[in-house]
Amino acid sequence: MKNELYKAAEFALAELKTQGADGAEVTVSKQRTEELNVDAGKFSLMRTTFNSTLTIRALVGGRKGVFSLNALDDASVVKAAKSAVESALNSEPDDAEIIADSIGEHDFSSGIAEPNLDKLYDRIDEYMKSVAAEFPKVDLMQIVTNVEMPAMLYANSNGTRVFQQLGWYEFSGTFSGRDGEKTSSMSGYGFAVDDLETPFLDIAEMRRIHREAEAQIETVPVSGKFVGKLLVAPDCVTTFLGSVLSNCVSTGSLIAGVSPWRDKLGEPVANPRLSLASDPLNPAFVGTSRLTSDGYLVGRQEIIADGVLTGFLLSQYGARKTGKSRASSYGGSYVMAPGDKTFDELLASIDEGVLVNRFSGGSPALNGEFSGVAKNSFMIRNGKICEAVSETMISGNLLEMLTHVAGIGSELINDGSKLVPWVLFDGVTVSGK
Amino acid sequence: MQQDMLAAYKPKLAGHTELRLHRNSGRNVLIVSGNVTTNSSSESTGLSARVYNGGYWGFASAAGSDAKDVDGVLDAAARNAAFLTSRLGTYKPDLTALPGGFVTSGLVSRDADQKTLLEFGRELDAYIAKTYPNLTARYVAVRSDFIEKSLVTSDGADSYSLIPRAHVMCQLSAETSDGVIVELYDRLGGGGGFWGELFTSPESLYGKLDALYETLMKKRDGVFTNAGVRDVVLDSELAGILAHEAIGHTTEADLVLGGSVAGAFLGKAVASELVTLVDFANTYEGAECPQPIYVDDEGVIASDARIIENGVLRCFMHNRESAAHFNHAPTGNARAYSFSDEPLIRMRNTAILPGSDKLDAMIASIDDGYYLTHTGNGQADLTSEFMFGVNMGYEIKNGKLGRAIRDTTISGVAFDLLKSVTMVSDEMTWNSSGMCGKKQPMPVGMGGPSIKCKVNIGGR
Repeated sequence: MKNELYKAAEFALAELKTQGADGAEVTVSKQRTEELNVDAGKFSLMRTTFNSTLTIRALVGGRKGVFSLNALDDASVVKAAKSAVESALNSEPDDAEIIADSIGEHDFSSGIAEPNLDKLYDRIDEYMKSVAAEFPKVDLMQIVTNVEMPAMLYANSNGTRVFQQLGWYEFSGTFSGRDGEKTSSMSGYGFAVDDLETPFLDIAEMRRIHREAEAQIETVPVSGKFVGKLLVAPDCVTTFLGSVLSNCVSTGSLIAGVSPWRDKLGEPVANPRLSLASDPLNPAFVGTSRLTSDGYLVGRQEIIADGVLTGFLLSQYGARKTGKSRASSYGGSYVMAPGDKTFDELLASIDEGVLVNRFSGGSPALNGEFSGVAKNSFMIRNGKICEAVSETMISGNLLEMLTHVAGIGSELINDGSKLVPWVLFDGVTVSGK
Repeated sequence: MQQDMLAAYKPKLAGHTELRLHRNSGRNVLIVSGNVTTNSSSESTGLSARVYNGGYWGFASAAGSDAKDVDGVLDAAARNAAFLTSRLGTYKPDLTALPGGFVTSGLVSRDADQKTLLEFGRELDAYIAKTYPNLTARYVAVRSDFIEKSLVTSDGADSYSLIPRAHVMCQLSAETSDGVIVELYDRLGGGGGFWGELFTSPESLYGKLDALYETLMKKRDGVFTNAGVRDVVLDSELAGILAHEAIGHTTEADLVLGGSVAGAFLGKAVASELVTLVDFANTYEGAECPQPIYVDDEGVIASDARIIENGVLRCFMHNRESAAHFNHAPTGNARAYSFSDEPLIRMRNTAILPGSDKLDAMIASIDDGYYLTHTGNGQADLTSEFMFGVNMGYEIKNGKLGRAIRDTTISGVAFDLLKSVTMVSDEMTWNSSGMCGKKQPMPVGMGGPSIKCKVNIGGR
């Protein structure tokens, strides 16, 4: 497989030169995915897919063209090279478009090499039986389990050759609490692992989310409107942070010049309790690429340290366009620094607030203003979790919320792709009927 | 595409088997404040087979369109179904055979080239830069894509389809007097069809760009909404997302089997009598819908699903298996996004039908509320509690439009909201620029009139 990828990439680079590209990068991959699905509580589908992909980025006089297709034979490579060069010739010259300098030749492999489908089946079967026994009111709507096994080669005209072979298992479950005709909101959880040693219900937050689905069958809308605290679950913290990062530190918002943090490097943007990095090499994570999309080895990129903005998630293009530094990682694999409070201590500090598991809302505005529905959520009164809520909206300003962090959990939850704790935010508007 | 190649395998398909040759093609240009940040095109072609055995599906796919791979995917799909029956035994009989006909799209690909899209985008961007120099940022997105499929099944179905669409979108950003950047996004044109049928010249879109700019200037001075349950008029631009997110998803039969509240409402009044909601297969009032499906990816001849008729929930959207489970007629809603995807129950062209009211009269009938005109993302739930982002709108005070509003979100319980509908306009607006997400992405059409109802609105 490795030889086939090298052969296709070298042929593509040679062809691009023949077609007139001054510089080029080529990513070729062969991918096998195995999948087992459960629908409405029963095994339903077993799926095997094979794919080959070729993506070419060609530069001609600083003009860029990109073409991708899913074939590696010589005729397809010639077609892709020709299309990418043609696209480039029609585009605008842009000095920020370059091919990364050579980082030499690397060979990485991690995770599983061969899937154990029998064991995967057994783990799903065990999980369904455990849910039926422990949480009889949980209805399993859909479970998708994948084994992903990509082999990829990145090659560029400056001499970089990076081959990676990865392999991991993914679980994504959607379920609800159900009692007769009454049903809870859709609930779900996902994780990635590189072995099948642990029963699925014991991984990360799986057991808590299932238990709470049963408690969400009966709900009460919040009455009226109040400003209070939100105790936000790790998955939902990541949702909020994702919006902030997209609006404030991403290549897109910085190139456009619309990021509210564009001139705030080195300045406080969050409560001093908050530190955040993108850390793809963290050993807790599975299936992460060792290479950025534009041909650099990844590393840890600090974004916020003790509340101060310390880095942007800028690609090479974004860095050249804005005059700022290229990041070591362009996002994902987020790691937050743990706080000093247990979950119970965070809970005990709340007089009136909402425990939020999931946020379903419109995309927050650039300045951080947001509103949306608090899903799979509970009222908190006097330090205790009370009734599940429905038809309850939360609204506020995400950027202000970051400065109003009232507490951070001491335990980081690892789902295979992020390490994030519970976070307590203050000053959020909660409105109901 | 090589339809003949598949046809040769028809006699060999055992039990219930589907064999599909499937191509996705797309072009994408994004210009950010004059910088061409995306100038890409892509193609993906592959073969897939799906086999039903004893209540379980086996699926396999491979890249390419080589006849030598057909036996491989057929064998692998059968092996996968056999894996499940070997562990679990048989629990369902075979699917009932359906008459399979020959259905073929008359379309021949007339895809525009990358240069055409790029030049169109650059002209639009240059117009904005020249006409509106006070903007903080401008984004022009030009896209076209098509999905081409050939399908044969063991029932004898033999179909070919080609579904193209093309769109031009624009987002403008401007700074308020207090230094806050506000944005507004809108679809300038497009829909189902090839580029050349939908767009003539960049100049033809300047009027819409001017309107987008004027609206953004109003939003720049916009106010925050007052959170709570309010009387609103949802513009016809929003009716589609209401039909799709708030109601459509809850009536997909796989979600009904997964616990959707709609399961208990069949035959019952779930909405005002003014509401009729249909998932059109391919044709509305003699014209082709944005995503015309004549035969679905299980080989079922597609028919309209008349989900709500005059307020009463009449049916769900089905694949073959769910139709058999409920003993309903199949509707042809099984669709797969790419060659490596299995068909899932998906909407096609979901719309609330127009009524007889005039938009002006609807606005005039509200003393204190909102007129909501632009939407962003949306999400549904088993409980029928939905939300969608609102990116533009106006206050209504004493029957008149007032100040513009900033971004907000509306939510509600769909079957409660539908009962609060008191007026439905005589307009019909279709939109097919986005993707629905449900395990796989999927282009869908959505449409409807303006609607007066009560809804929970976020804000301060």
